[in-house]
Amino acid sequence: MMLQVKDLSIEFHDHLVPETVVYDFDLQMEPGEIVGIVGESGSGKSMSALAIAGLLSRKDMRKKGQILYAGKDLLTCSRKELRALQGKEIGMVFQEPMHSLNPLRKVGWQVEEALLLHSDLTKEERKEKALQMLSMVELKDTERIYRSYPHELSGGQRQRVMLASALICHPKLLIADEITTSLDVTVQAAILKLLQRFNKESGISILFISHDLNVVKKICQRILVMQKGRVVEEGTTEGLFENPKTEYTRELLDSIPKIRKLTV
Amino acid sequence: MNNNRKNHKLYIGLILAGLIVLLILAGLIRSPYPPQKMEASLKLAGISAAHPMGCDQFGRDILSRVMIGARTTFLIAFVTNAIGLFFGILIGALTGYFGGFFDEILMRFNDVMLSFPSILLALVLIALMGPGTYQVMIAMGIVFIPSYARIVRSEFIRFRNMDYVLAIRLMGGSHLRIMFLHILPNVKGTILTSLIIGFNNAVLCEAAMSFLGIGVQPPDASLGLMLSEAQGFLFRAPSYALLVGFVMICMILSFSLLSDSLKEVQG
Ligand SMILES: Nc1ncnc2c1ncn2[C@@H]1O[C@H](COP(=O)(O)OP(=O)(O)O)[C@@H](O)[C@H]1O
Ligand SMILES: [Mg+2]
Repeated sequence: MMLQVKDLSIEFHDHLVPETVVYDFDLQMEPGEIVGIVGESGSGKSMSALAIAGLLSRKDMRKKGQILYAGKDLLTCSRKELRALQGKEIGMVFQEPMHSLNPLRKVGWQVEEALLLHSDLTKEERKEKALQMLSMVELKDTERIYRSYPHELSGGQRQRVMLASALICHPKLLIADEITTSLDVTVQAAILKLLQRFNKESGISILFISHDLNVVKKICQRILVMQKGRVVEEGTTEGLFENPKTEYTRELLDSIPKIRKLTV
Repeated sequence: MNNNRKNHKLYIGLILAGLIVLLILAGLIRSPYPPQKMEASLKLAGISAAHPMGCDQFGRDILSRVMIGARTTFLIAFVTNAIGLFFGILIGALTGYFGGFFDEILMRFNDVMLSFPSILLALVLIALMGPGTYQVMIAMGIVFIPSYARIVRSEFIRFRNMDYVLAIRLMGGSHLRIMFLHILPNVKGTILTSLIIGFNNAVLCEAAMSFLGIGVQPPDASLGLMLSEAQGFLFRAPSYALLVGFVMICMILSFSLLSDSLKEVQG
């Protein structure tokens, strides 16, 4: 078991009245697995993901339960241990390709940043590795992209750059929060293929989050359905599609346009 | 057409700023007369070829005094804003980025400072330190900190939860790295425009303090001090006050115009 989340609850304490946004969240992931989380927007997917990445502030939020990564509880371990895990073991890519890169820094600089922080490679070695990573995410003309600013790239290109920078230190778990949501369908498909390829070749586990069941079913073996901060259903992708247990899942399934027959 | 107007502002601003800079630089190299040299026969003499701006109540050449006066005023505005900006960025970045209890305390203190007219606050500080050019710089610098801190803080709040900041935190980037390598460069534009406004405020604030006699002390010169001296002879030598006022207006106008066109370029 690489990741085990037990009874995770997340409560905001930055207002007068505490607000719980995630209740009793449970999740297990094996190495190499692709697990999906679906649910309407506001259902707590991102909050759960940020908690797993250790990115929720320890001050404003109270978290109950456990997040065990390789046996270590991310909620109670020291900041130093958390830092070490975050840098090397867990990577994350976000929804908005506009906001997930610093607009004032060149792409190459940003892709290399993790290497700067976690390795003692020289400048040339870092550049070489970054270029290699950019071509791994199937970007063409990598030299030019290396020298570009984020606004000079398309949304799809930016999302690939994000992947490159998240994967450059070879994390074992990638959290992908709505990474295809702002892309058009063909680019979406290409990014999904890319994720699958990485999963096959390097055995990386992926926690894939989307509000769109149609996208999730394409790459996930297992799916969690969330509603109003709770996991309401969990099962294999086939199981879920053939025999949805809750009304909510059925509604989500119904919202998929039936142009093609389901081919799962 | 819109573009044209923008260019006008930019050009006029640049020309005025150029004139002021020229005046200051010329004064640094050599003023026409020693600025402190008094000539009894020239008391309040009018404009002439030898004294293009006339002479003041002690028969000192006004042009020469405007040259060093503009320099003093410029220097005060510069140091004031440097102090305000340095501590403002430090406080704003820390409170905005980390939030929490520390932030609350400092910002309430900030509110208290902002609720007094800045002149009043500077007055209190001067009362503690005594008048003088350096004291004015320090007093005004301190008074300027809260407004910069507030601007920087709100920008840091805007950026601290941006996805790329989260991504760098996930990579294990330190808070300092995020604050000063990632967020601060994005705040540069906002800081620059407020810096120009701050600059103008400092020029006016210096004038007000010198006018009240608690700023730059004679026989030194600053635009504010000269204006307060000229006030006594408004009817006998109106050109004195008008010319000094004109230089001050040029200084302020040039920065306003530059800041305006800068804002328009930034969109
Ligand atoms: N600072 C906050 N204080 C209180 N509630 C918040 C805060 N930030 C987000 N939330 C709430 O948390 C819930 C879950 O949000 P999120 O995890 O982003 O949903 P999803 O990613 O599934 O769309 C939402 O209902 C949102 O309103
Ligand atoms: Mg979300």
